[in-house]
Amino acid sequence: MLKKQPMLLDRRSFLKATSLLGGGLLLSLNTPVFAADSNTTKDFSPSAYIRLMPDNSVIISIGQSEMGQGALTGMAQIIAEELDLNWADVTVDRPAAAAAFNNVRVPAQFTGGSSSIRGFYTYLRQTGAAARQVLLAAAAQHWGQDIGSLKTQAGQVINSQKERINYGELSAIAAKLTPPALDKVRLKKASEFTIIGKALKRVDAPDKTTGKAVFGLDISLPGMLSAVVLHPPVFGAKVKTWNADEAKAHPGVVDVYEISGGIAVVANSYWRALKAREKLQVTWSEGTLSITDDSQHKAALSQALQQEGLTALDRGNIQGLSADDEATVASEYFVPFLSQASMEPLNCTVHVKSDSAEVWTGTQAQTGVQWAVAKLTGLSPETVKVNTTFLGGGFGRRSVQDFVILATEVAMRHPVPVKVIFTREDDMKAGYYRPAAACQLLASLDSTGKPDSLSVKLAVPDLVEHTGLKFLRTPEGVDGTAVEGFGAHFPYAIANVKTQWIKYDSGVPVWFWRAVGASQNAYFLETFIDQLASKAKRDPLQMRLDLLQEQPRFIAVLKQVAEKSDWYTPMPKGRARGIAVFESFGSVCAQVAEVSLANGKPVVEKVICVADVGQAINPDLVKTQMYGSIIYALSALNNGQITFQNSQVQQNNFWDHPVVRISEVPEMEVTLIDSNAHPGGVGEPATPPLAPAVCNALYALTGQKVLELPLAGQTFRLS
Amino acid sequence: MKYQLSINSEQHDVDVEEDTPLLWVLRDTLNMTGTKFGCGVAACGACTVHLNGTPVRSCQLPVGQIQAGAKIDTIEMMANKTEGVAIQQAWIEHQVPQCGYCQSGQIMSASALIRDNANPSDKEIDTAMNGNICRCGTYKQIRAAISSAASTRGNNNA
Repeated sequence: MLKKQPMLLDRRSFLKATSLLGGGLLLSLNTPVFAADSNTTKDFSPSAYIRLMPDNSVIISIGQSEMGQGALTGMAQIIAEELDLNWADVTVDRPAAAAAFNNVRVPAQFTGGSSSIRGFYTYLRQTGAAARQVLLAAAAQHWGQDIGSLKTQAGQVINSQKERINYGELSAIAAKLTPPALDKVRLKKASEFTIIGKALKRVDAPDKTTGKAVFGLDISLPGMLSAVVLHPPVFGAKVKTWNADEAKAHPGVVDVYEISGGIAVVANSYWRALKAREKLQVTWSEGTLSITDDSQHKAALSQALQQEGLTALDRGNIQGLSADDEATVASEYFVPFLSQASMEPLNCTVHVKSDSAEVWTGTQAQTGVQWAVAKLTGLSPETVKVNTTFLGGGFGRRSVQDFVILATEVAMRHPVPVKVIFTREDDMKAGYYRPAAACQLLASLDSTGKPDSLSVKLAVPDLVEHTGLKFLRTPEGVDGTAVEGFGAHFPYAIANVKTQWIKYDSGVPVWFWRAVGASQNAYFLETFIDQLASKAKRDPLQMRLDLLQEQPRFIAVLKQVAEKSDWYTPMPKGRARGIAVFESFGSVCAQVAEVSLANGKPVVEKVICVADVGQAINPDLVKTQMYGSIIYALSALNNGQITFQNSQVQQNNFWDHPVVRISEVPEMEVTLIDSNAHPGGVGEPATPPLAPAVCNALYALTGQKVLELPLAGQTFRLS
Repeated sequence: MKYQLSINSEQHDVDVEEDTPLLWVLRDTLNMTGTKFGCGVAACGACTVHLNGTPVRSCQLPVGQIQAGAKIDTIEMMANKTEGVAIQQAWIEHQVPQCGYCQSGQIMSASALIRDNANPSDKEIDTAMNGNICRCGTYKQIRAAISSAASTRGNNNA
């Protein structure tokens, strides 16, 4: 999604060194605060960034949300590298939301689009390097020696006589110095790295094995109340009538009232609020969905594919491409809505006071929280303090503000903090799903069997409109997530390609999901490539290698995944391999899946994954992101779908929305391409190739094309 | 209703409705938040605790159905149990947690497994752990960590 290389740090931002009370040095990052309504700078907001304590311990503040992807560890490693810290001395702090933690490209603090490491990489290195320069200059003064004769190592400055001084001891002098401009500092060469590229242990692992890690749901404050909301049964439905007499009589219930999103039940415990909610009597208006059920929705999406759309890519000329031609391959695909289904159900605690508000939640979008709370309460965003807890999974869902808005509406009616909790069923039915989509692909092969023309039509909602993130819009006016992989970066050397996006919106709230558009587009494109290879009687790997000669990163991962999977060694009867490759979020990932059948149902036996993520900051954490992505994608492939009947979401909980359990986990192997290039994303890019790799294996095994997901309900037979 | 519960070797007096699940007694009444709410229907395992040593889903255990004198252990107790320590150390060694939300439940299931089985096979691990969902997909690391914790513990006992 965020394809462009990140810009260098805004030059108006600067580091400032000050003494800490009781000794120690504070390096704060002073960042311009942008007014919400314009690009003008209002003020400079300093925020604690690096604190060097007298005992040589170091506290690094990380503003990116930790939802399992390892941002806290990876980002701290980058600063520690350039500042030459002793890793054992480093602890990581998660500060309240502040402009200093805004993303580089967008004036807002948020975590998404696999952008933490690749977005902040240069920024964090510059910060660490500038801080190191200040300490060197301070040590030069301290010893009265030339700065060029000094070096740093493991939290100390060392002079030519091999005398050492701890960073923390230099605070008095360093606080009087001005750190160099961030874009002027020298950064290390990759060959000098000792912390970047090292498989250090996660900083959050200990607390996550003892139950001490605090998630949003674990927040407990003096006088706090708990609330649940009776949500509308259909998207867009409003309360018509309601009676809460019985609910109000339930033990512990404090109040019951209508809010914009339904009826709120507030009690002194979650269980009491939940039991009271069961006693509510409510009638609802009809909703706003154009979906009544799934067959009607699929038909509407298919119908949308008959229209002309906005052009996202127009290469050569596809005129003459006809579905009726014998040399043409044509397929139409459908993928369903998908729920993120994070382990921690949505929740948010808010305390609204007369002149300020405080929020405790696992959010991926802190600035958005400030704006949402400010809008409802009339407070200014700066007075809304946002405490980011650990996130029990995010996958994009926690960058929506719906649960924050509900919690704020409730909290505004109470003088104490209120925690609003979604049940699993509330969470499953609350919307903001990965969009359902349809795709029509049409291609012709020349006389040598090489694809020469390709028509791509994608019918999918406009996520730019839904999310409000305008930077995702391409210059052609297209939703960049909708055409991910099929737009300007289309990798295959096919002379004539036209990609059209038909905006189709059913009214279902849609949002990001792990890899979003790439998750379905990789499936469309990469299964279609195998259909073309079959038509041309070519090996699917060879077909890709031939068409990707100008794409060295693709070639490298393909060649390595072929080697690791013994691609050219025939499989025993009843088993087949499939391959897929896709670029997303700045990384290129190839996978080979080995598949067999059990009673006509696919069994994924093995997945070999090779990824080029550029410089891996922490290779072990990168690999665990890849394993996790494979399993997340496998859950979706096997069973993932949100379906509708009478406009109502059918799925409730993990019993009717199954996800992969440990017994279903295939053998997995992940290899990273050795690289010192600017980091790519790692949280999402291993998600897209899984579905097409498995579907291609099924195609090889059975001759059956998989044109619709999930696999549940589809039966296969050995060919 | 008043109940006396033995949790992590301490007596706790609570006054809640008898249908209140143990999960919410732990979390809301006793502020022991290491045990997590994931599904409320015993489908995900995030709320796993030990009842007289056996892993149970506390979201489906009404406090009124807990026998007097029953011993309840939660994640907060695991640092005091040899099998708990072995699992927690293996979890860090194998870098199991990602988001971490399900891990209290995973650790409760895993520690009971290695306490009773010094050398669990992959199949036995799958059987013992199949009730615990992890959406981050840490299963590969969970298998490795359980195997290594079991063998460490086996060696220590030998």
